Amino acid sequence: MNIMKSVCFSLLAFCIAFAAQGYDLNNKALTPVTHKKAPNHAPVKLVENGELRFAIAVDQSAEFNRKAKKCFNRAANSLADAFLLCTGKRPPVISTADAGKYPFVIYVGASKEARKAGIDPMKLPEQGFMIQTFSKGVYIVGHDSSVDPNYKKEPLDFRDSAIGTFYAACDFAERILGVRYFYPGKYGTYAPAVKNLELKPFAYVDYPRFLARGFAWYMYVSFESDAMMKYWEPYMGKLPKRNTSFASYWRMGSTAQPGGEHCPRPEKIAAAYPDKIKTLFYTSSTGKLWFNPKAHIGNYYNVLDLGFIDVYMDALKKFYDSKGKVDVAGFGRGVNRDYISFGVCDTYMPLSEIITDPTVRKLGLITKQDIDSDPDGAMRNVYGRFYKHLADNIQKNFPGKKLFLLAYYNTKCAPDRWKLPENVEIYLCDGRLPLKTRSKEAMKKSEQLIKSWSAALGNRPIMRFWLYNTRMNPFARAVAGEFVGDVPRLFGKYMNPKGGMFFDLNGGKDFWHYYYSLYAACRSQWNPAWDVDAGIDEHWNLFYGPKAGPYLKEFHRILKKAYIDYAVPSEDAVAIYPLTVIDQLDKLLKQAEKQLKPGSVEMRRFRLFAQPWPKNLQTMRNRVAYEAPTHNVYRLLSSERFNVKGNNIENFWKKAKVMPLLDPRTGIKKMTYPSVVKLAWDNNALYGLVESSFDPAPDKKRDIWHNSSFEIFFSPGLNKEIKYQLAFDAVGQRYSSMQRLLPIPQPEDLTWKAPGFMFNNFMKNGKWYAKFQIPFAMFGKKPRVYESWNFNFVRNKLTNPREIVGNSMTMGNHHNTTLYGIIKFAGKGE
Amino acid sequence: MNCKCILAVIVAGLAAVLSAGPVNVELKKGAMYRPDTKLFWRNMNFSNGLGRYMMSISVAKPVNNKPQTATLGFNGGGFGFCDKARAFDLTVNGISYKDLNFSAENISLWSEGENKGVEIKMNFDGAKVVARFYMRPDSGVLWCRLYTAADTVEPVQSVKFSAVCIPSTLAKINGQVQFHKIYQRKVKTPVKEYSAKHSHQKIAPLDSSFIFYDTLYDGTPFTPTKDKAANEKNDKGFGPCMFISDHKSATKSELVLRNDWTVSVMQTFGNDFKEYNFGYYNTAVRTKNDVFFKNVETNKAAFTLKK
Repeated sequence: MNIMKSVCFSLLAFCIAFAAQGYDLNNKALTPVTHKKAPNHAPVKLVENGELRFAIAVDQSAEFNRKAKKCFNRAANSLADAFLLCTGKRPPVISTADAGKYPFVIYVGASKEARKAGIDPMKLPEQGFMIQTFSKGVYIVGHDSSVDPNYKKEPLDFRDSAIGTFYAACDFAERILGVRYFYPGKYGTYAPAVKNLELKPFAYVDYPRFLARGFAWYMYVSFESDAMMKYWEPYMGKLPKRNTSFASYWRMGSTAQPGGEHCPRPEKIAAAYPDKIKTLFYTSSTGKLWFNPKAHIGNYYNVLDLGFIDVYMDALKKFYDSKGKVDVAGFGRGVNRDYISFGVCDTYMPLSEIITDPTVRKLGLITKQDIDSDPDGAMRNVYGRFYKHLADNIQKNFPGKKLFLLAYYNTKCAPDRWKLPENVEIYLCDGRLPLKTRSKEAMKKSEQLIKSWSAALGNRPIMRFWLYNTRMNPFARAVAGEFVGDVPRLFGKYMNPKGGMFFDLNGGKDFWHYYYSLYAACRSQWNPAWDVDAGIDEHWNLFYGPKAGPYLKEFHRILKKAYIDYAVPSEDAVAIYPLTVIDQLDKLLKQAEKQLKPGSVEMRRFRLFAQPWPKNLQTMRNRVAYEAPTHNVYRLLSSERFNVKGNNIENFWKKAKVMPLLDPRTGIKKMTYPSVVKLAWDNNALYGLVESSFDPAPDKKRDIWHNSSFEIFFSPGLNKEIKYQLAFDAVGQRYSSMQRLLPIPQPEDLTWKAPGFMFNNFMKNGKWYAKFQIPFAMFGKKPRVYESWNFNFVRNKLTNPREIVGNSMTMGNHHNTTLYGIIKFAGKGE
Repeated sequence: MNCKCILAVIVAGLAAVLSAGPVNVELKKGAMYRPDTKLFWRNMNFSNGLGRYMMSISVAKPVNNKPQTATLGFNGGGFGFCDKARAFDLTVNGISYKDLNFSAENISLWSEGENKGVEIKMNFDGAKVVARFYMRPDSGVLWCRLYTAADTVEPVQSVKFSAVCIPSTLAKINGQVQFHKIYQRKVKTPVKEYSAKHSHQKIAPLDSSFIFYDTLYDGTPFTPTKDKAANEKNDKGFGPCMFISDHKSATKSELVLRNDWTVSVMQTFGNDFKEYNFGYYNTAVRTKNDVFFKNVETNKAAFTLKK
């Protein structure tokens, strides 16, 4: 695209738009609406020569349900603010009783007047709305819980409130005034200047295609701490902490009953039934008890012991009998009026740990077909059996309630030998969605998974979908939200409109830098028929001005295309983009910046948009240039000895070279909290010394993954046949596992104890020292002198501010053996 | 391609007709084929009025499951030296020099009187060995003294050395490089003439020099024409090359002489190894076998080791 031509065209279009101040009810940049028969009346002149000729009227008494969030005033004030931004004048927000004092009135929310015109909020689609003109103004009416007599009539109804009227007010501001809400604060809303506004008669209805939408949790995360508020302030202005009210502008919301979550909480149910730990948590045939009282990860419910169900029923009985007041198992909102949730913990059970289980073998719960069905399919019938019994027990003990299951990790795949009863709903987690929606091959697998669950449910649709963003790849994070609409477009027939999608952003600290993508994710959830590209393309010129807009539009076009061309087909967590693409992006960003006036609103918006890109682009350049770094390990002379115990630092360490460290995610070598890592070896073991310039502040209450720690990954030789992982933290907790990668990747073996692995932490002169000793015997293989092994060393500083460094640019995935560095076992005297 | 890209040895004229001159040695990073694949390299250029040798030491980056690998030898050229056949191989205490770490610190210029060269210090897991390549002003031979370093940490228990020579040429037939079978290689030493055999042939201490030649590719000068087929037929290569060796202390000395493109001399030393001296002579001037023999005979001093 010729950018200069585009700039001229955009300037022209901008001027025309400015002059015309018209509106297009079918603007493709907005979600399509359903038109109703327009009333017959003269045009409604709301704004004439910059003067407002109307008031916004609200009947506050109509919002009678006190259990619901009130939304009339919020909607009215939001609309008044939109007019203020567009005209410089704020219309009064009045009571409907005073409406006669104004030439025209915009009635916001349910009112007698709207009812007289035939608009009954309870007859509108759930969370939907209707906007209709009449001779003296406009009715803006939504389906709101605040006017619903049945909302939360019964106990344990945890549904959020419908706020259709608020959505309606936003829609009016967008569709009629041309306002766009991209992020909170004074810079995040685009509002065109409006001098005249004349409404020709119209009536339209819109509603969300799914009752549960969004990812408000991550919006909360983005505003969670003082540090985050300080971070956003230069770009977004001062904002209230932990305030996620902006989510409603993006139409996030839910009136679906919650469920299908991680449920129960392992630490709660364990504390409530201390004598039932082995019933509740799985013990593998090797004797490992999968119970971690310090964290969610590391726990595995004993789904092979149906005695679990008895304990569960007991906890549920206490919960329901007390109307939710006695919640011994930490059910939270997962158990409610409609649903009883069961969801596994964040722990993946390796096949090797379960396949030898006596119950599995006796009942034939894992067959070759199960193992071959899907990488996560081995345990599908282990869970099928458990779910069947659990659902039957719920039917017997709590008739009318449904079992809401989290299909995740080992239970991602539908059982094929156990028929699930009618009282089961599914929350399906598919890591391919939405990141791989443009891969036919990946979508075939997703379709197979989704169809199999639908079949297991008796051809009923799946209630909710859990979608995932990538954690590692900013190039994907920057556009992932734009593919959310693909999911219902591809699999809509298997999706229950009473449920919806949760887009798990996998982190929220970069939330607002990719606002356009997340905006798209929300719009697509409201109505998958929305034209994503039209919506995003429109905004560049509006938001950044007609000069910079085309450069940013092109930047985004290339970014999205590169994602489809390079990242979608790639198996790598961070696909490599050609340097030509990186150069183009770099250039466009700089060109856009040149068009903007320093200190302007557009420049401030640009700063928010552009902030992550220098680092992102540099990361990609680093990735392209990355070659496995080789570190020579000092070989002890026969006179030199290492002692892991005590706080003596042996003299030979002066001769050992320092292993260079970098940020594993970006490859950037600058560290705020440096660590000096040295390695040495002899015929028996590898030795390590780490000196860190900070106090790790060990916390015994936290597990190894939540304390500052070191992780050491080996793959002896360079063939990457076996990966060994050793870890220890500042408390003294340790972890070890091994995984065979060739010829066929095997599950991780957590029973591997790393025999002889020793370590020692101590503080000296305000520095944290760690020494470790790794006998080669644990690998069954000693290195030859000058032999090279793949190696990844990671230092996790988990006290605030966190800092992770390592010797390999693994793009943040410590298990990414492809990018592991190399240690070379040097000879004596080197 | 690699074999053709750089001339290995360029000699301005027959050693016999050229006058002696001062030795010039360069040690520099310089140009390297596919430098992006190398962790480290240094080029070493040796010359005097009688001969010129271009060597390099390089360490290839590890790629996938291949570890980093060092290479020492002559740079490509018409004789066919390439990655498949470098001039030297060295294993000390069971460790190949190819596995070693090399850096600029290990390689330095050396001189003693008018003799000049380069010293390469190698550490075989504590057993330190130095290879000193040098030229004398009176000889077109590239000499080398391989010896145990004074600061060795571990004793040298064993040394295996082989010198690889490419007599006359790496020939082509119908444009295809010929590695085997077509050659008729022979070796002339002060005491014996060796013919090609499949098995290794024992050599004696008195076999102190080896003139490698080929009776078919006998170095007869010719002028190339546009007719490639005729050129192939008429090209008789560059003629003989020579290896001079003082292997009296070797526990095992062998000659590998087959009708292949390369021939080699292999020496094994035991734990009494102190040093091994050898010389290498090659010329890019087409020299017939009998002319070469005569030249060596006439200029004995130039082809004799001086310690």
